[in-house]
Amino acid sequence: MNNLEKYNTVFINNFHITEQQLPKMAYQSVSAWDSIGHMGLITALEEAFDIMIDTDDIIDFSSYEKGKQILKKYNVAI
Amino acid sequence: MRIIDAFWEKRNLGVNCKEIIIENNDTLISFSNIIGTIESTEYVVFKVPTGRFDFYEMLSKHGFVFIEGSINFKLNLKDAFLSPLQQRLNATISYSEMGQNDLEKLFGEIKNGIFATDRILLDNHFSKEQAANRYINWISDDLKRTAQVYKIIYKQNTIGFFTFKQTEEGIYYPFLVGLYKHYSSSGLGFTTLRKPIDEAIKRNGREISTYASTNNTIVVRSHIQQGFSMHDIQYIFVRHNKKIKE
Repeated sequence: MNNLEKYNTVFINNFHITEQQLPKMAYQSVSAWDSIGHMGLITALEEAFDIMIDTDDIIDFSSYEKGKQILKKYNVAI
Repeated sequence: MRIIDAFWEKRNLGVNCKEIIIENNDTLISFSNIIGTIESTEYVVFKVPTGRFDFYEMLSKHGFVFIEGSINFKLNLKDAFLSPLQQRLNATISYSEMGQNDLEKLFGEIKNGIFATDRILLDNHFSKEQAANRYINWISDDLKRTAQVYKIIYKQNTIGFFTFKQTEEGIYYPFLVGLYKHYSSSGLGFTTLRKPIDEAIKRNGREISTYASTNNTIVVRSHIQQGFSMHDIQYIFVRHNKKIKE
């Protein structure tokens, strides 16, 4: 599984969404992406890519697209 | 049945208000005895326990509408839970008691609408300014009594707040909490529940008892996630009568 597939799988499993929904995913765009869902998403990404995301980046992680940019800082190219 | 003259709502909302609390042993006879009180009050709020379909039906017949469920959540502090990630984040976030400038900032945030699911705000008989003033007056009044207000801080920025008061020995009630608008999508909302828990632990407390509206499912989920259990629910019905001359 490449990084994009891993990244997508985390979103799909965490928020119970389809692949088609991914590009428009943003904080609170679906009911599952609330503060609890956000914690679940970050935890799953840290496990999937074996990284530890800084608090500032957790706060800034506001959408599917924004997350891709943030993960670059952790040497995860998507 | 308890009838409370909610005189403070005259200042907050500009209407005379009665809060009527139905207890488990009340019957519809007690309802018929207070029809006159209902008719002569501008804003009537009924709080009814679960399972009282007789009252729900009667209230509906008398023009009351359901506006929210009020859940009483309790937490034995020994049961407080945070996920490992939340623990990590919680350690980077502090809190301290507010000064006057902090309070003014808080009141600005409230006027800016941080409480989007409030039953007054959702009620189109009231304005968002009235809803905000009600919260500001509530905090100001309780500060004059025994409550404290704390700011929640991340990197020297205030991200939210919580109120705090002791209701019984070892039992604390954070009657209002919230995240400031700039941080509303930060994922840090859990700290508005956790920091009062930390303060209660610091004071050697044993329990937090608080309320959440069924209109705010995010907050309901957060309480359950952090170990709170549902103790009770009251269903809230309201009725507006025309302006009554005093």
